[in-house]
Amino acid sequence: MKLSRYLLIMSGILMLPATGTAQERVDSLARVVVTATLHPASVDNVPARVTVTDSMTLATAAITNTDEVLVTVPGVLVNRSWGIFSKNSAVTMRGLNGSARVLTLLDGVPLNLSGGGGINWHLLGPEQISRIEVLNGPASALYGQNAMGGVIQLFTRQKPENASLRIGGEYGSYGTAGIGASWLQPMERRNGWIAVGGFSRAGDGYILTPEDLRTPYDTLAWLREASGRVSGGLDIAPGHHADFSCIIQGDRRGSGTRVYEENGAFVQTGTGLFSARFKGTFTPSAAYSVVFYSLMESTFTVDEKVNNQDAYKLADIFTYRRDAGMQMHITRPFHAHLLTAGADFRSGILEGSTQYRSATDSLGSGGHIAVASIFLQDECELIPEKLMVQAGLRYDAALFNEGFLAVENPTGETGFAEDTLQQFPSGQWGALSPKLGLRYRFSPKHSLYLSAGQGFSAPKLNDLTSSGKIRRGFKLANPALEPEWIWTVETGGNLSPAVGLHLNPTVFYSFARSLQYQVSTGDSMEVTGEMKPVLQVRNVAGMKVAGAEMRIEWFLRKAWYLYGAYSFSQSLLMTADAEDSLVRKLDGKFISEVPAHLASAGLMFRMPAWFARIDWSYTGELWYDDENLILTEAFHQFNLKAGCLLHKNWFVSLTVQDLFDHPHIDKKGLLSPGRYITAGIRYQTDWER
Amino acid sequence: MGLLATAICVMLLLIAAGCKKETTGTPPLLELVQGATVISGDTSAGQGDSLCFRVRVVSGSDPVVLYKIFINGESYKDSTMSSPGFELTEHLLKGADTLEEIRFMVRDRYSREASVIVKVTLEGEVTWGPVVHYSGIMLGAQNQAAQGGFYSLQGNQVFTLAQAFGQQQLIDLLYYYEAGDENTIASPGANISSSIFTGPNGLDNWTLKRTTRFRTISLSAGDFSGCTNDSLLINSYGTSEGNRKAKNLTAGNYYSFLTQDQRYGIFRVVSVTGTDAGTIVIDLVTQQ
Repeated sequence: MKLSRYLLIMSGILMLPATGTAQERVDSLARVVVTATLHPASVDNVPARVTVTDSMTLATAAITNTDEVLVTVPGVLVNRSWGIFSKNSAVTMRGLNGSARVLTLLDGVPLNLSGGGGINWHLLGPEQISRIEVLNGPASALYGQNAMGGVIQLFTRQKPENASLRIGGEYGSYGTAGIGASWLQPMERRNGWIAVGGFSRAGDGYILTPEDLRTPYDTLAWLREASGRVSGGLDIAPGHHADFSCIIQGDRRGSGTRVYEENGAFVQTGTGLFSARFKGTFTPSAAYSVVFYSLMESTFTVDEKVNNQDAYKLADIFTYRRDAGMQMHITRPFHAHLLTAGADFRSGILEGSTQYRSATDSLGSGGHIAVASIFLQDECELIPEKLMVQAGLRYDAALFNEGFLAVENPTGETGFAEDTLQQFPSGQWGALSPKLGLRYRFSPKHSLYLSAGQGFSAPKLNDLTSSGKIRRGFKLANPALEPEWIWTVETGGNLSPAVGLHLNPTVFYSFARSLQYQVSTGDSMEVTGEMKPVLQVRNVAGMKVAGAEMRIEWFLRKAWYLYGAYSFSQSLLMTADAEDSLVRKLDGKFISEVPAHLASAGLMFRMPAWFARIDWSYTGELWYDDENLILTEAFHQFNLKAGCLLHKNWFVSLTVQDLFDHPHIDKKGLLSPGRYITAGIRYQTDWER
Repeated sequence: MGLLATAICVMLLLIAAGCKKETTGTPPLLELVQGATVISGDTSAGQGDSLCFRVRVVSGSDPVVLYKIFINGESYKDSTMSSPGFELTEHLLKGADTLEEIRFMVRDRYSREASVIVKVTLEGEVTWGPVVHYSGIMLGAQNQAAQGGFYSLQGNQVFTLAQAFGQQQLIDLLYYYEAGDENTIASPGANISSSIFTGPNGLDNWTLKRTTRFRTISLSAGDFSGCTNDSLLINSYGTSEGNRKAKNLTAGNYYSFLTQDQRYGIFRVVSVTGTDAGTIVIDLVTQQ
């Protein structure tokens, strides 16, 4: 890559115009990505499959939460079956289950907590996000843990050209109402800017249990949430920029059960993310970036129910997770190569306690994990303008310590026989993650890529330290748990056979080993009067995944936009060598909670003052259980959104999810909300014509 | 960063404040009512003698959610509720231990606790009672027309639903099939879905629903058939309270049980055939 072009792209990504026709936008902003290489690069140059969701799509799609827009990306499964009332969303990729197997970043900061691996998708609303990049396939050579199925990077709105003010409100089905505001202000001095935003939303909810199965204890799954964000930046010296971000989010969501407690069962979550970033250039050709971050999440759950023995159960569960870390990297040309070298450090803790109120049991557990990493990436053009090569290597070293489990006054409720205080031994592991990719450009509009890389996912602190009764039996902590690995080989093309038409086919094959899998230890114990198996998460299973993805985008004239996405994956467990006979029986079974087929399509008509958009999504049937005994039905959904710019800066919109009101039953046997209508009005000074 | 970290700590503390309520407030009150026919302090009794207590509970700042009885540290009874208070009579049987420490305990919503302990000393010698074996008891599920599904230990009798409706004071066990729990042995007081036994004789219309509780146990066929006194029946059930249903039954399962009138027993499943019109065959040993 020529130095001049590299610098042009480096300086250009945030300077690209926010206005223009749809086709101009896709040929400019959407064609430059940072997730694949850690610096801005053309999507047609990186040897990887990257899909960009821009602010136009985020603004026009019929979504209530950011994750929902990801159904338009091939290979991505979004599990938000209760819609806006879901406690959280699980986003998985490429035939793998579990949120921890996808790395999610917000402006470069990892959102996967070491404590559990999941993401709080309610941290920021879609109006705070300007762009999403999805990198399919393993990327641990750059990002380390969690990047097994892929990487999702969210970018917030920042550094505006002009001041921007948005104030709005919405009202929707199930008594849902919300207000939100954001203000972005550039400053004349030092290239500075500041952004302030927030929203609050509340809803009465609906009853999750199907009508014929309801009990007197089923009640509305309600919602209260609020979020706030302050961020800003300025040049601290010529060529050196600093920015910061502070996001605080809190919510309380009813679980749909009420027996005696005033609010019934609910989950209350508080999340805070603080980050500071410094970036700039040492010399005209060497760029650096340093990020410090701290992500904290506390969860308080009131678990109230009447069990299948007609006994009242009440427990308070408190969990605190915190990750803090630093990431730094330097990118500089070196002869015909562009080198990126970096180092990360991350420390995560988990503290959890459960106080059973309807029993005497009291549980506490926790632990700490620290990961230090170094990585190197080399990019070069073996044949100028034709053949690009990307090679990367990263080493992660981790230390697990301070793990403990404490149990007081146990009964059959938790399954422990006596008071327990366990101090788990420290553990350590290392992970070497290579990647090699090639992209060949046949012409300016057609290219093919081929890549092979390894991804891994670190053991989660709750699997390392938490023991107790679960639905299937008694789960035992495994402080000796190690990372799981996946190798993926893939090839794909970026084809543009006509003006405005983009075709992106991909095929891949993955082979996973040492998968963390919950297996029987062979022991059993009495839990609430019944003999239950003792289970433990161990590195026992292998898996092979074969899949294909296809995305089509077509910008028709200036006003029409059409897209389609389809993905297929076949994920089969390989457990023939497992010691446990129950695990061996799973050999050749499909991995649970992953559909073979995912599809979506949409059509948008956009004029300067109004737009209308309809989207369709399809989620194929999937196995709910490892034994492949329970198959949940496929479902599809139509969503509609229309918006119109009224007098001056007033904008009104109507969003309809599940247009034809076909609620589906999720894997837990609970109902989706069905047709969900939201009407919104907003005062907006930066309407994109 | 320091200021920001302080802000998030304040937020987290506010959230955690919801969990701190247990450190303040008034705990519940538990007392044993005094009277001529009830025990309210330390006493002595012979093995198998009935011990009668009158327990009064009044909540403090928050409702009472847990009421337990421990005998020598082992949970004997476990009840959950959300109540401002209650008063009830407890009938316990003196066991074989030389000294039994009976502890009555309540906890409220935030685990504030109150308890009373009574010590009962054994009078006389320990003796074990005789047992009786019944083999090949066949019970029919709810839609089995030819075979009754209700059983009384008194006289080893099997009744149809209509017959049992007229003998509610005798019914200790019943058999039915339900999706999920599948083949189940329970008793009329087990809160069985009204869709199982329907019609004018359905359980919803019963005025006396006796409750038997069950515990799954591991036992050899030799121990079962060689049981000659009630020590195995009492010891295998233990002191903690059993469940109201023995579910997902298959051949070879053993369950210990205690009827409403404090009669211990063990049954084993010999065979299970069919579903809601099927039958189950059990062998049973119980106190004579």
